[in-house]
Amino acid sequence: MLENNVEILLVEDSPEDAELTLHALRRNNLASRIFWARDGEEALDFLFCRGAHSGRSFQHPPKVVLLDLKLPKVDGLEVLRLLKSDPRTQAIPVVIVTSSKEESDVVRGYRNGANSYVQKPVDFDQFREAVRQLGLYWLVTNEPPREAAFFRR
Amino acid sequence: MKSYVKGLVPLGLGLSLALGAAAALLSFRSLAEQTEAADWVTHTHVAIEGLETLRAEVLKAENARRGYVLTADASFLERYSAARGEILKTLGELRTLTADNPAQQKRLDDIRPLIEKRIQLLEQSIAGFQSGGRSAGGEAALTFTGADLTTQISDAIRAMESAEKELLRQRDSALKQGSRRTRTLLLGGTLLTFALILGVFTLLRREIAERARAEEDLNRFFNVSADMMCAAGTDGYFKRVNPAWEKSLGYSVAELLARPYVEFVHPDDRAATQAAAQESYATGLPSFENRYRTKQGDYRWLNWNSSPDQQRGLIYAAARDITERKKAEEDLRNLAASLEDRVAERTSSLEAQAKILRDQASLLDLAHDSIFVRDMNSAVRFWNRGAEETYGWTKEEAHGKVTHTLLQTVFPEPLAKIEEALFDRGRWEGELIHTCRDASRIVVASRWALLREADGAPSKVLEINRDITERKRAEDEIHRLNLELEQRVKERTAELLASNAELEAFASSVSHDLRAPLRHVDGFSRILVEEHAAQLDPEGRRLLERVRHATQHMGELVDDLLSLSRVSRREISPLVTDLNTLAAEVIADVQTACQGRRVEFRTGRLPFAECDPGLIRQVFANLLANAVKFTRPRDPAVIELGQTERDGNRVIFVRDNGVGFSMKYADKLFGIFQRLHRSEDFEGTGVGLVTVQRIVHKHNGRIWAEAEVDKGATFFFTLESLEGPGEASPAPVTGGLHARE
Repeated sequence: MLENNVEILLVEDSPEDAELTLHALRRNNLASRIFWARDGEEALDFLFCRGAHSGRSFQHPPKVVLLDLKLPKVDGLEVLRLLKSDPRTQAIPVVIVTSSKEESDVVRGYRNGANSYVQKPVDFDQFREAVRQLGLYWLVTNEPPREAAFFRR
Repeated sequence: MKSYVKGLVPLGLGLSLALGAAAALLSFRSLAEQTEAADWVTHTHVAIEGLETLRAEVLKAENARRGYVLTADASFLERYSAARGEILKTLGELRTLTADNPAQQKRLDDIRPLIEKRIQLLEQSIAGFQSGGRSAGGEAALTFTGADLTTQISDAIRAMESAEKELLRQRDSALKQGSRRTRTLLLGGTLLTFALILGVFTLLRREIAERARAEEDLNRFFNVSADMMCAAGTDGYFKRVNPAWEKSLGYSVAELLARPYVEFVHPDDRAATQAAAQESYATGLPSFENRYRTKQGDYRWLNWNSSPDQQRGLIYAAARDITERKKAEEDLRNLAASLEDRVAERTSSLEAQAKILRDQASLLDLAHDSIFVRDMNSAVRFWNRGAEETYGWTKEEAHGKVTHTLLQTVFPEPLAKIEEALFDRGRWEGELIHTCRDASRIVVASRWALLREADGAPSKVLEINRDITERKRAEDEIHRLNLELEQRVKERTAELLASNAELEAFASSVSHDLRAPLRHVDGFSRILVEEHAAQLDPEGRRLLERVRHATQHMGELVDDLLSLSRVSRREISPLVTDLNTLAAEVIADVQTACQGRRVEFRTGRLPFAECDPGLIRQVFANLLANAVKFTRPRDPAVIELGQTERDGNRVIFVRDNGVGFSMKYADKLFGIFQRLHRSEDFEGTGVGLVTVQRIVHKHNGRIWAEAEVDKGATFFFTLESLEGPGEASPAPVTGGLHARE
């Protein structure tokens, strides 16, 4: 899987959540090009094409970032803030997928430019359904930004 | 002028009298002189007449002798005798008449011998004739001698006559002169007297006119005087009364004069009146009072002033009607008497009060509080036994001492300010520090009351002091403890705030950290069931189901706890909300949980309320979910939602016909994790009602429940914005049967 062909960047510290998410995507044939970052730092390296991901190009961003908020090292909101404050990355759609339904988290998420906010349901059926809808929407239904959106102005 | 006139009148009168007298005297004297003069004239005339008679009688005597001699007729002798007698008589008369005139007397003396000689001749002739012897010669001699004598006699008489005539002339002229003087005197005196009398008369007339005016004045005064005036005689009758009598007493003047005045006097006053009249008449009486009956029969008090006129036997008196004054005096006397009575009464009541006060004062001695009274100079006037005991000074020692000095009072604020408050409001309360006789210092709760005189002037201050030293000490201790407590509460609050923040963080992490593993357990067990069921035996599948059930319950628990935590932390944002709409939405939601059951919702009309709609929605949701849950054995279940009134306040209620509960455990109803039913019968977390209660409390409302085992339960709640009575709640409306077979 080439890094530049990644369609979904999954930022998730919990391997179980990651597995269940991948399981759900896979069941719906949406999990072909997923990159899983286990913490904020790795997510930022990937997005800003640095470190282990310096070979990546800004011109080939993922179609959507599924971002958990509670992350080791750099937390999800910080990742979001940095992402949305850089013109090369700010056009990338970000969906916050988190266990928290705290109002403050939701508000801060949107204020920092999140495109969507989804709480992970406890019930697995509901979780699976939510993941399916997310995948369908962002990979199929949604028209992704053009390349031009990812250059420095 | 008047005295001048008065002086003039007697002077004029005296003068005129004197003048008149003088004139009369002068006239009288003048007349007397004239009369005398006239007498002398007459006298002279008589003398002259006598002389004439003498001459004539001498002639008569000669003729009678001649006739006799010639005729010898005896009748001539008679004639001769008569003439001779007449001659002698006239001679005598002449002697008398001229007695005052020596010259005439002398002449008469000369005439007498001549006449006597002649008569002798005549008688010689006669005698000669008678004797016949007469001789012619003799005769002739005789005749010649006779004729000569006669001539001598005539001459002498003539001389006397001329002397008398001279006298007559003189006397006549004197008479005329005297008469003229008398006339002048009489005329002048009379004229002067007339003038004087006229002057006096004028003066008198003027005087009389003046007197008449004065009398007129007096009469007017007499007539118009409001005072009754009278003149009374010693016979006991009025002689004259003025019109004021009629006005005052009603009797006419005639009536008053007709009867003895004492009959008009009050019978009781008659003796005194008569005595007064006598005294007045004898010595004069300055003032006297008695009662007169009016014509109407009532009596008027009169005050008399009188003045006697003993010469005329009269008493002049003026009376003034003093009935009103008397009445006023009487009233005053009555008033004074009644005042005296009242004073006596008041005195006795005051004495009674004084006794009560003394009793009270001795009661005051029984009080434990120290009570004392001080005057406006703060000097002690009363000092009870409590004060003796508290401060150590006896009544006698304290009396007259200035309290603030004696007790070394420490005031909580400047004394001037305290006194200002005392005068303003009549009282003051506060705490003072006093030093006792043994030098110990005590704190007293002091109450001051200002006593005022009847006129409002402050007179005394009552001070009641209670020794609160011990209490004060305890209070100080309490105060100190309170401060400590407050400090600790502050600290605790800070701690709690911190732990609240921690709790929030905790709740947040619970939602992350507990949900995730739950989801994982559920997720993987589902995958196991779905994708690896073939490898599992039925027991394995059953156990997996139990795992999933447990995870679901835990998920609910977490959700409920998070909800409770959110409710607790959330500030309410009140909006005016239609509770009907809210209830309808919630009912629609909970109906999904009623699948396969017959549940009847009955909703009454709910009010509008100012509340946080999100939170109240949760209240309805939790209560209705409970109702649905606990009516599960009922077919049909009946759930009512409505409004009623309790203690004058509007109350929202949710009633069900479910299994209910025992009121014994009602106090556990709103405790967290408290459940009144076995979880095998009714699932639940024990958090829902706590959340409801929390929300209601946040709206300053109350929530309670009434229930009976197997008879259903009713939950009531109020909201602050619904306080007070509303419209009467209409009968519940049947919301229809929501059955999903």
